[in-house]
Amino acid sequence: MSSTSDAPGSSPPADPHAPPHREVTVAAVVTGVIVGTVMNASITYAALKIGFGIGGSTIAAIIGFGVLRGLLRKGTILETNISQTVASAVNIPNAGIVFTVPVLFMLGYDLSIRSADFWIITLAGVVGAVLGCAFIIPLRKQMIEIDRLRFPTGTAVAEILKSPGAGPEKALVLLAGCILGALFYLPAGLPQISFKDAAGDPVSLPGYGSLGWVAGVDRDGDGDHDPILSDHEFNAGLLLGFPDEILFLLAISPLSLGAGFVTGRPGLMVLAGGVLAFFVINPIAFNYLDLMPAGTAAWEVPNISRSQFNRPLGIGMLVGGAMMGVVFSLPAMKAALKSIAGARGVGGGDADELGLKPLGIAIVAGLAGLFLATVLVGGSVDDPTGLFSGLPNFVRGLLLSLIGGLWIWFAGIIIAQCTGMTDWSPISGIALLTVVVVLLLGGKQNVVGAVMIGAALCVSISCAADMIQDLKTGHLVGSSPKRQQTIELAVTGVGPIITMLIILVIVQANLRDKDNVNKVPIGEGTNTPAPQAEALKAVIQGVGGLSKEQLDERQAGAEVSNEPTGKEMPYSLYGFGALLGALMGFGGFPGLGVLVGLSMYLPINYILTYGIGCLIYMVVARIKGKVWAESWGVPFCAGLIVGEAITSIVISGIVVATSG
Amino acid sequence: MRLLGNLIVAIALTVGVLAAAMAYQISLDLPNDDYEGLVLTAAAGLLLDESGEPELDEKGRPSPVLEVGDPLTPENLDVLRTNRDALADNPPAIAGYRIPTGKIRVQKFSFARWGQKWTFAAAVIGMLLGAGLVRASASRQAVAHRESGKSEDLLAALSAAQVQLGELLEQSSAAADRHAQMPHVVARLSEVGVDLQANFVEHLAVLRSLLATGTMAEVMEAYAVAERSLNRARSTAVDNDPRESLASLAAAAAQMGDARDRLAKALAAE
Repeated sequence: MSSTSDAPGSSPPADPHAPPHREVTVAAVVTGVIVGTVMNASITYAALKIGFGIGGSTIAAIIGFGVLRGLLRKGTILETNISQTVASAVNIPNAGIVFTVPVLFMLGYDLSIRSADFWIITLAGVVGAVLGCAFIIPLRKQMIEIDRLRFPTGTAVAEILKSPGAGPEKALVLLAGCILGALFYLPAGLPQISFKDAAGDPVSLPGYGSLGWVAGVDRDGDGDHDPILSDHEFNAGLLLGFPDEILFLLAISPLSLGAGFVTGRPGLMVLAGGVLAFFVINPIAFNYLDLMPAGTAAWEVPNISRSQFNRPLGIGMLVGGAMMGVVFSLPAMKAALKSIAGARGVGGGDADELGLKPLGIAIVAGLAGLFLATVLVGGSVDDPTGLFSGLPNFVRGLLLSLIGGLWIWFAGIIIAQCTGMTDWSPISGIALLTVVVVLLLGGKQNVVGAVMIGAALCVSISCAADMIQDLKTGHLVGSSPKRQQTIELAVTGVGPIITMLIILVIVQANLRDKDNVNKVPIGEGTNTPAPQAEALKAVIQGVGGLSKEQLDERQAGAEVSNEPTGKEMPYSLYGFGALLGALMGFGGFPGLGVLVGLSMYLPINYILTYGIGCLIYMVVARIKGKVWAESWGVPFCAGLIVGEAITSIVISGIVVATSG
Repeated sequence: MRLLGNLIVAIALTVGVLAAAMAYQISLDLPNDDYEGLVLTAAAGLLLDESGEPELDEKGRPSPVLEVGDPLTPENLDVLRTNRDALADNPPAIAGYRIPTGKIRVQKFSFARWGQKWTFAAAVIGMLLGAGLVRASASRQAVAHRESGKSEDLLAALSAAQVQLGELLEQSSAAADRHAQMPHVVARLSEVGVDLQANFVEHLAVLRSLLATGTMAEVMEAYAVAERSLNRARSTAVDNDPRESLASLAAAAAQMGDARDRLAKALAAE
């Protein structure tokens, strides 16, 4: 591709004595591993305690700068990029594990360090991390170079890395964004920190909700007036007198606002989808179609609609939209793969992308590991309720690992597209669907196997999204994709091991806690309620997945009820959603189904804040021009993203420290 | 036409979502046998007191007759039908609540029971129609772009970038103190990047309408390689490494030319 013969100017003479430019160095890798490990451990604990995790790329970039440029005084932009790539690769797998694995403790399964299942699930996590990275690498060209997806966090990290050369004005703009983002988010995050008063009762720090801005109504009948401003949200609908069934709620999240601005006009599709779902479909469903359960109050409509049909239809649309995106992108993917196979690259000779051979080896090894884990896991028994019932364990394991591997590949594409277009990744929804499907295939006794594959998938898609974000950052600072890919593949397996061990430590601490009267290992009644895993537990029980106690009873010959519970998954809605998502792609924009699906799946408060960011971009671009919006607006909004991320992680650190 | 197509897609999508949302919602008027094995997945009916008014709990909420998980036995169906008739005869008004009209939600889907299947089919046809209009509009736009000569502007943007990069390379390579030249390289590359964003990247829709997906991919890949080299030249210049920066700059200039050549070839072939 790159011939130098017709280039104006000439290549500079090489200086044989000059040291190679610092990019992949021991200092960068070691710093990244240490930072990633600390972040992984603290974010695992914080996510189990407060219910959501935090991506760490922005923080890793700043710490990397501090260590490499500040302390060691020799770090380059590209070296810091490698350091943040390593740190985020080590950190990110926690997002997949904290959502899934704790559910096994909640259902009574033994996952001590001496149990084989613990190590098999850890292996599945490592395999998931490797597969996630290996599957997404061939899509880098298509998503970053051809589709030019924005990846707001990846762009924000690049802005941080580029800041030393951006001139004092831009550095100040970035800093101003950081400070404003942090200050704006601080009162939303502070209430997570609690301490015990003299009487031993927990007291939270004050936040926005403490301002006491309330409406003159008490819709939920709890005796308190409903807040217009709560710790995390601003209820504009309540202030403006909107009908209760229309939820006009804004999240207090500079990160979402900044991500919306960085995404710009394409993000309006997300806003449009959210408005359609929450402002049009829900009110019609409530007022004219009798679609709500009897006794549903108007103010409950948004939440009930979301759980009953918006969410399953949204996930279906994501799948259908992504499928259509893949179909329409096949020529581009083919061109990208041909290019990787041809090993063309920067400089006109060397490959700048990891070749298909090492990727193929990584994928085959990953699938073999998944197969091994599926065959060996304790819950893998021939269950008559499963679709694969009657097949030998070997064949069942092979089928489950192949289907799991295929689904991991496809889910990685969905998540990477979502992250690229909006910065959000619907990991929890995809994971729920995965666990349920594996339970249907393998049988309701195979809860451990289902959660294991769910964990592998969650880790995989988290890593895929992280890797593609990092590669976007790398593109913007001019890093070598091959070096980033190699280093991320090499270290990504460390993350799941750290997270699994940290969970074990937390469980042991909970079991030794004097206040934990019932000796619950994790979940409600402990210091780590693990809300995400509680949601998964409810779904598993809804589809008839067995707890350890029920499993033992069944194996002892007892009948376990197979009666419907009324909490079954609405499978058809996923299918109809997929059809609608695919159809949306027939117009000019194949990824439309992904965006609209995401907006139906996510809570409206984040969509509206994000949408406002998109609208501000359009107004700024119209008034000041696109160049101005990109040159000044994007660094400022990158600052907003970084400001909230830093504040979140500092607050998480304080939560960890003050919880003992 | 594009606006009309998008409007049709939006309306059809709304209708389709609502019809799909009713997939598990069934009438109470089916023969009792049709409800065998079904349970409620949403509370149904409203409890009424002796005067026919809804019974309210301590928070002022109306209470349902049957809860999630209750089976649809003939007895339960009778209770629900009686309740539905009573509510229809004497509809109560409770602020903030809707009075149920007798539809129930169950755990199993069946095409036969789905009352909105034809509405959903109509929505599917509507979405296809809308998408067809959008595509037709895109084809017309491609013709307009071809005739307007906008693609020439894109070629010119790449040529200009290649020249600018080449000049910067020559100037910087010839400098006595290359280290001292690096701040200038950073500033110039930032300007080239801004120009490319404004004159090439912002107008990619023109190319997308003109080129086939595979061809577009090849052009964009070539451009992205040049862009990455440019970014690398800038980053390494910030870190005051003239050797790496100028090598990347040389690569960027050559690759920008390659991207321009590929674009020119692709446009000529269209």
